Amino acid sequence: MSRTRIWKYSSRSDFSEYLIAFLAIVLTAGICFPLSHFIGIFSVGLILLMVVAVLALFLGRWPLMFAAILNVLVWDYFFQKPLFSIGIMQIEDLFANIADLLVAIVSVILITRIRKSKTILQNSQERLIILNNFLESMNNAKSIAEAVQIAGENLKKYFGQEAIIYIKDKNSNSLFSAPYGNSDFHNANGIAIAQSLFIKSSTGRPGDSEKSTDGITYFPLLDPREAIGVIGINLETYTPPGEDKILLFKSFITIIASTLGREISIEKAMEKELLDHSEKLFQAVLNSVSHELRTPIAIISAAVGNLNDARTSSEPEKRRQICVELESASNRLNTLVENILDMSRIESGLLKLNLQYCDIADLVGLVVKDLKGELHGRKLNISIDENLSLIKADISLIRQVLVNILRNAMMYTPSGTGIEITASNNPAGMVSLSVRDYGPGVPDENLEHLFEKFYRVPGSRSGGTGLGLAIVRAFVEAHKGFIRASNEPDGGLRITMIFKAEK
Amino acid sequence: MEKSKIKYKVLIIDDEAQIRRLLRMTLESNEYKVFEAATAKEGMQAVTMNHPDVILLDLGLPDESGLKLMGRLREWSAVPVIVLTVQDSESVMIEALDSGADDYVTKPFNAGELLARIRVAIRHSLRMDESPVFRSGSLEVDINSRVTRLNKQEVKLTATEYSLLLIFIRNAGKVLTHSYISREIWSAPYADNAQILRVHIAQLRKKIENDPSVPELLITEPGVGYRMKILPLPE
Repeated sequence: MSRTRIWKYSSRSDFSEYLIAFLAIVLTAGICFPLSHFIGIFSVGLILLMVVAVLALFLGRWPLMFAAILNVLVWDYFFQKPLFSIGIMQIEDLFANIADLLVAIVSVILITRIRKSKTILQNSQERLIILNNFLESMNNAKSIAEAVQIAGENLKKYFGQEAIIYIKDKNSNSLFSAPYGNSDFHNANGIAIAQSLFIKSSTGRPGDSEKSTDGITYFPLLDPREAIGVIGINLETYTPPGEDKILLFKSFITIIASTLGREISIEKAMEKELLDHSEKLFQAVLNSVSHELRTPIAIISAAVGNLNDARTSSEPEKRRQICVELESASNRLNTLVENILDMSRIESGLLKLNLQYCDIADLVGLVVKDLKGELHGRKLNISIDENLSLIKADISLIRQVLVNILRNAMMYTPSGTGIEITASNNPAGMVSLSVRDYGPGVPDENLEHLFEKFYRVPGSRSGGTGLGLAIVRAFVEAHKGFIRASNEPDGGLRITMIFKAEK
Repeated sequence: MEKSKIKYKVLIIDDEAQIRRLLRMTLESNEYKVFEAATAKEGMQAVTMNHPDVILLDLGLPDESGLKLMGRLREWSAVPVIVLTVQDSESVMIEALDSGADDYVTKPFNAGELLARIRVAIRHSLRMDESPVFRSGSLEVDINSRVTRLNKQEVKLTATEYSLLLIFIRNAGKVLTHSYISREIWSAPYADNAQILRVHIAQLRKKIENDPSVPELLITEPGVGYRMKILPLPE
């Protein structure tokens, strides 16, 4: 990236300009010399003066001064009597020489002054454009790192080098030790200066700037509310280190500081939001687990209370009913504890599969037997391909998968409705196993969350921890299988699993 | 147990069928007539159809939160509501009490305790204990003559202590939230009076409790408020 030149009003005074001035005057004099008899020496003087005026349009101040003086000397030497000598014979020649010199010098001064103010105007316009561009690109920054990167690119473009930027540590009132930007400037001395400057600025005594021994000048980055960091740049390597450059650099610093301040506040706000969110999630988990744990305990305690009351426990029918409630509550607790243990096994990464060839028909038979007592009049329709391929699976895990899916179906569908279990070979060398119920289904927009841990379909009945289907998905995926849920066109939810077939 | 022929009606609004069945068993053997509802919607219908004398309300209902149901109920009915919940966060309890619940019991609950709360709630709503003399344990307060006695010895109460005691007597057996007490006595929010209230309660306990360090009458409901217990009279 080429460096844009912005410091051009300084006078160019190199040797070539003196040479141009010299040649222009001497050549004009040479051309005029043979003509001076016809046009008179005063015309020659005017011509030379005109040359000086023309030179003033493009030469620097001191070459012009040189041209102005040379013009008078040449006129005197070659054209005024006595010829070929510096000196005057008549008093009017002296006046003419003085007038010539004055006119030449005054016009040089005026012209260079006009040119200088024009350059200043141009420069400030250019600075405005630079600042505007910089401001716009900084406005587009979407993170601290991006803001620092854009700042670095622009500093490189306009100041020829990247700066080093230390930013305040979020948790303590000191600078974060890893800087952004130019790491060449990163050294112990620099950190010490940056730290002290930062502490000064953040205790309400903003230091202006401080220079280290290796020539790097550090400026505090001040947001209207607080000091947010320190920026360091080597201002000495640029010539000329004019006032204007420092001014421009300070404007840059202000823009960098306010952009970083903005990004830091945004980042803080986002962190807080994230924290709030995880707190809410934690609360929801705690509520759901504590509800699930306490409900069976409440049932057990109420049942025991009734057993202790002679008026209820004296009737055999009531005693029997209380025992049914006790049994179902303890089953419920057992399931919950198993689910929690399964989940922690999955989360801790200790899930190891004991893979065996497994016939899905056998498995379904086992599970149906497990759940016989929980069907409450629901009819299970089982349809399994006769030549269904075997799969390689951990039988106890897949059994748990099927139990969880069926329990889930029973929980959310009215008793007396049917549940279908289907298993078939799939042309792609896969086995698909699906469970379909005739309940209310799940709103389409919630389907994708169904297998998420602790997810509960909004408005669904209480009970359930939100762990069952999460465990199902984890177990299926541990077998490199796929699982998805869909609503049937005529009502009800279908959960389909696909496993690799083993021939 | 009320030895009367009237069977009081209790409505259980809880989505756990097992809890409903067991509560029904407990309540029926204690001579209550029981109605059940599993959702807020059913609950509301049961209130209008069966006119229960007391409602046992679970806060975690599937279709609407119990708190919302209570808000709607309180727009037109003063039937006593005892909140029955597994959530034991104090803020939920305070919210329930402030939105009109008469009492709360956390699950798992003790059947005896629940029955006692039901009796208190019914007695309050039927204004059965507006007697001029309040007795609980060894405390006796004659409301007409403003005389308080502990173990038959008269105790002197300051005006604030007496009005505090009166609030507890009028709501005997019920839990009163800090903010309720504060509003009743100072007509000001609890936050302004938290410390003062604690001091007054301590003062009152010194005068009406046999052992102020182990209060038996004026007991603390941690994080929620205080409750005046109705104790049997000493032998």
